[in-house]
Amino acid sequence: MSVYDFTVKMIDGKDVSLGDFKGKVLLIANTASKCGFTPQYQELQALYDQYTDQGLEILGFPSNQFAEQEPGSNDEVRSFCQLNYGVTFPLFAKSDVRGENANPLFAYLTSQIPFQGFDLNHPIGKGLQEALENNFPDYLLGDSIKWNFTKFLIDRNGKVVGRYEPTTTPLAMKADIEKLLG
Amino acid sequence: MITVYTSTDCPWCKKTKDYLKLKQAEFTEINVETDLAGRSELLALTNQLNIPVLKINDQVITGFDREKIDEQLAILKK
Repeated sequence: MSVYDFTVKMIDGKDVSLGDFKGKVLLIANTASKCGFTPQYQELQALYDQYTDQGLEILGFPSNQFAEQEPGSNDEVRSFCQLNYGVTFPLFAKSDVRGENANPLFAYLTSQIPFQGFDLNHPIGKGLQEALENNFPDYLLGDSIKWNFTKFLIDRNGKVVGRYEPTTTPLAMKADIEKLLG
Repeated sequence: MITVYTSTDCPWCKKTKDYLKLKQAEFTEINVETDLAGRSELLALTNQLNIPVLKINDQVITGFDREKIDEQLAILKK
C-alpha cells in the first residue's frame, strides 16, 4: 500500500488517482480553513513557485474541521482569515482529515508517521498546545491531524518521509524538499 | 460610515458583522471574493488579503479586534 493507491476528489468533483503523481516529490497538506496559520498558504505557494519545475507537487486538502472552531482568545487562531486568492497548486474537495469520516488518505498518512509534538518555540506553538489542551484535549491523543496546515512529504517512490506540524512553516521545509528533489 | 470587507466562508467576518449589528452600527459590506473592484480596494487599503477589514472613521482595522472596534465606535457616536 502506498499513497499511489489513493483516489481523491478535485475541488470540481472529478476523481484523481495519486498514482498520476508517481515520480514527483509530493507535499500534502490539510490547507483547510482560511483562518489561523494562513500565512502558510503564501509560503506553500512560494515553495510551489520555486520547486515545481524540479518536480515538486503540492496537494492542498481543504477541511472545515478546524475552521469554525475558536480555541479561546489566544493569538494562534488570529482573529482574521485570509483569501486563498493567488494559490495555483491543486486544491482538492473539502473533507474531514480526522475522526470517523476522515479522508482515507489522511488516515494513511498519519499512520505512517506519528505525531511528535508541536514546536513550542514557534511563536504560536505554546498557544496552540494550550488551546488544544483546554478546548479539544482529545485532539492531542494519538497520531491524528491536530490542526490546519499539517504537512507531509512523500519521496519520488511514494514513501511518506516527513511529517510537519502546523508549527513548522513551509519555508522551513526547504532543505528537506531539496534533498528529496535531488 | 463603516465599511466591512469580507468573504463568504470566513467565520471571523461573520463574527465582526454580528458584533456590529449587536452594537447597532450600520455598515456597508464588500465581499471581496466576488467583488473584484472591492478586492483591489482592499489591497490598496491594506496591502494584504486578510479579512475582515473594517474602515471606520478612516481608520483601518484588520481582523475581529473588539477593542479597536469599540474605540472607533465610541468616536463615531460622539
